[in-house]
Amino acid sequence: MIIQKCKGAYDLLPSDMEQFRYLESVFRESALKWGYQEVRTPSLEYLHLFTSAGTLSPAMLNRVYSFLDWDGWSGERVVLRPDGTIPVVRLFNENLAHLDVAKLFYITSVFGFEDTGTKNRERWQLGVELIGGNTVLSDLEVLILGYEILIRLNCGQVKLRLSHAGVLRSLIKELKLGDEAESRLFGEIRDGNWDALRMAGKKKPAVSAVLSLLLNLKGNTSGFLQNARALSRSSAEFKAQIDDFLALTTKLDAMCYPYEIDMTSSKGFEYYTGLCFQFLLKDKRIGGGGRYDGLVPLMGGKNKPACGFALYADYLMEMMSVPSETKEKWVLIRSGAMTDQTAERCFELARSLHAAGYVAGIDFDGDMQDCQFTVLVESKKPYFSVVNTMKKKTITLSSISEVIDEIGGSVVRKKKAARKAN
Amino acid sequence: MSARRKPLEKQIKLALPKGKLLPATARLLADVGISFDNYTTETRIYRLNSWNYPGLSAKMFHEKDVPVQVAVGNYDLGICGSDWIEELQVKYPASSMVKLIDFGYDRGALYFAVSKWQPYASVQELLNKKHSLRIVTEYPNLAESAALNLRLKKYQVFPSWGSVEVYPPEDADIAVLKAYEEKELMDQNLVALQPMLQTSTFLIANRDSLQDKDVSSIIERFSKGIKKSKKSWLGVTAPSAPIANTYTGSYSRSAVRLAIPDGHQRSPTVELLKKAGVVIKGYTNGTLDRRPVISGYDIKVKVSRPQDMPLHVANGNYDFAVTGKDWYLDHLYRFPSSPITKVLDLGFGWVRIVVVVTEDMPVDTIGDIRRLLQSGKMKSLRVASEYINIADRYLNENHMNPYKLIPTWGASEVFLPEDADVLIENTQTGKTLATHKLKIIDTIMESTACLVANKHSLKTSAKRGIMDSFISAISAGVEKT
Repeated sequence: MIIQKCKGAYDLLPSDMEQFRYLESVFRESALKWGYQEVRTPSLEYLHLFTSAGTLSPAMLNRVYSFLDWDGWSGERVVLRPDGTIPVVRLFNENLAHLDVAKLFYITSVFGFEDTGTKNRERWQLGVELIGGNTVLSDLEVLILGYEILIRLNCGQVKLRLSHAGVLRSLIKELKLGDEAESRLFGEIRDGNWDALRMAGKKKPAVSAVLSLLLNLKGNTSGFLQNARALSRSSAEFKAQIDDFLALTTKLDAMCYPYEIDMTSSKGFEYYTGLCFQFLLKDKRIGGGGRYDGLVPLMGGKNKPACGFALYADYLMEMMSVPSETKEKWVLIRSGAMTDQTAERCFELARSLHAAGYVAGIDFDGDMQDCQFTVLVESKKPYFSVVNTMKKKTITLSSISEVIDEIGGSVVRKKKAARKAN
Repeated sequence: MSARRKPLEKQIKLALPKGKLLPATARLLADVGISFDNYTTETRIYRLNSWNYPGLSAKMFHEKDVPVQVAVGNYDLGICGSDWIEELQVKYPASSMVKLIDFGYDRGALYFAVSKWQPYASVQELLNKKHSLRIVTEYPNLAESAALNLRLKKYQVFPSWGSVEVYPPEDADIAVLKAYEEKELMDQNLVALQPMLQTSTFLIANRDSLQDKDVSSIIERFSKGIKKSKKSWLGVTAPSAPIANTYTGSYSRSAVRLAIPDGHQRSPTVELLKKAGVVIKGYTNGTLDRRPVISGYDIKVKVSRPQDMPLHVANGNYDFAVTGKDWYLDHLYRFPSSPITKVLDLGFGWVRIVVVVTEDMPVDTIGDIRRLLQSGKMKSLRVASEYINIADRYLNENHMNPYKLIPTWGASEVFLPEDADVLIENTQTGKTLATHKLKIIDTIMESTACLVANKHSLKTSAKRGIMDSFISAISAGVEKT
């Protein structure tokens, strides 16, 4: 009987890894170009990192993989990281708190139990966090960075959906429900029950119209928020929050970035304080983020504002493909009779091809599938037969340099020349 | 055309509780007309057959084991407290178990309680605490879930085998425990901050059994029974010995603290203390005081479960404790760097930790079982044990692969052969094992009572002198036996 993987766990096969590495390279390259630096946090963190911040919902915390470590006699539980942002904030507080601004990115897996076992319980995220940036321009930067990555991935029409936790919080405050009822209402909203807020809003004429507009309609320009602002008889706090939202949407309008305002789109995480956004592809969430100004101080750090986003690799990989031009060219080296002499020549050829910028593998037993170029190594001169399977042509050559020229010349040399020419 | 399905299984299996629920459950069964001859507190025969329902068989389990056995499908129906049902379901919401009928007996509630000497008047006050809150409980899953739902910022859960009322306020901030009424908590110097869960005794069923089997005859009996105007089982309670918990509010972390055992080990411990010339009040006879008083030594004493002691010694709640070598090693195997050390073998309470199978299993050594697994004749080994960490280490060291470990809470012999293949259990004479037609195929270790100590306490100058002097007296007592 073949031993199988754990329920809810998934293997990444070579074709998956090719996709994953491509996604990773596009993400890394873009983040580095925008001045973000890569960090990596441990898979294990203390559970209290996530409970003390009070930022993850009990429903989510009830599904974390937590256990007692080998020295956990004190009852202190450790957890397999259930979220990407909180550990990065912990990392910042612990190591980088002296910086005014930290632009960080990470590629990591997050763990969470899922009942059926048919979905992945270990999911990969690619995230950026901008800690210390307090203006709408920081929000704009992370949004544009996210957009840029998705456009480079060329996986289809990406939709940007916006909401604003600050606007919602200020409206809920105006309902004056009292601590307990307010907390209950937040719980309902977290679970996606927006009707609870609609019902609560109906009892307060001062906010009911604006709530109704914001919850029932979706906007496509900053005009939608202007209309809500005009309709409102609400507090200065609400106006300050909607102005913050407006500042961003006005800039997106000016830069011609399409978006949809859907105030009911924010759910799940509780640490957002301002802008919340989601990237969607064919109505599936492939990423999301927002502003979380309270999180750094909540976790014992300085009073630093912050924002960020994460892309969900598992969903993205379902929808993207790796462009053929980015795939490495493969050369297969094979010998009819693998003697000591031909084996040495195979290895020498492989090393030379690697140095010239090719992926070259040796087929020891003659079982591997042909590539575009297959080189047969013989014990006698002319030593090499290069088979071009696409052109159905075979040519015999006697030196390694001739083989390299035949399959296209040194890729490394070409790249150097191109760089010089630029 | 699809293949014919298997003939419907007619045998109905019922998991019944031992312990405090037994008298009322026995009355309930009698009242609804389901009769088992040996379902009594005195019985040592845990496998029961109903004489008026030939298709019904039952087994007696520790109450905590009943929902697990029903959820995994070993039993179609079970009777147990809803506290243990919830304890399982809060951790495993997808478990295949359904609550069917509330019988209404052993009604009570689980409480989030603190000591009356602690400065917490409400849960809200607990939420504002920045330090880690220590929660002690027999219900670790429910306690953890409550802590998350209440959004406690930092907490530690100490799972306990029982007697949790003894821990607050010095050794725990919160006790999550069951009580029939709040007064019961007040008698133990505890204050209920909030009830977490109302509890009662339920008939539960395995979901697959409900879907695929006809268990209606038994369900119907119970559902007709609870419609009766006279429910005699509601008045039946299990006798319990009165226990005091006389904390006076004075507490110093620098005092030397000793834990001594309740249960079976109480009597030999009394004997030993007597031989050591240690005078103790509230422990020797009559009403047990959870906090007895020792004369002649500046030592604060608590009485708790030997199984729980190593964990509390490691955490510095006790400086030393009388426990079993078995529980000491079970703790150390789980936490190898734990700051706990054995300082004295006390000589009494000798048992062997043995590996047990049924007499008719064709094996004589653990190697035979390994060969069965390797040959594929046995697909997976099910091992039941109270000693989870000892069992886990033993199975790994003996290359048992694959195996499933089933935690139990005592009387594990009932698990063989239907619900486990192997038992790792303690035995003195082996007579109980023989009664159940079981045989020993290996001895893992011998265990006696021992005095264990916190390594840091032994190095603390303020405590060392008192501890040394007490250990010397106990050592002298051991020599006299």
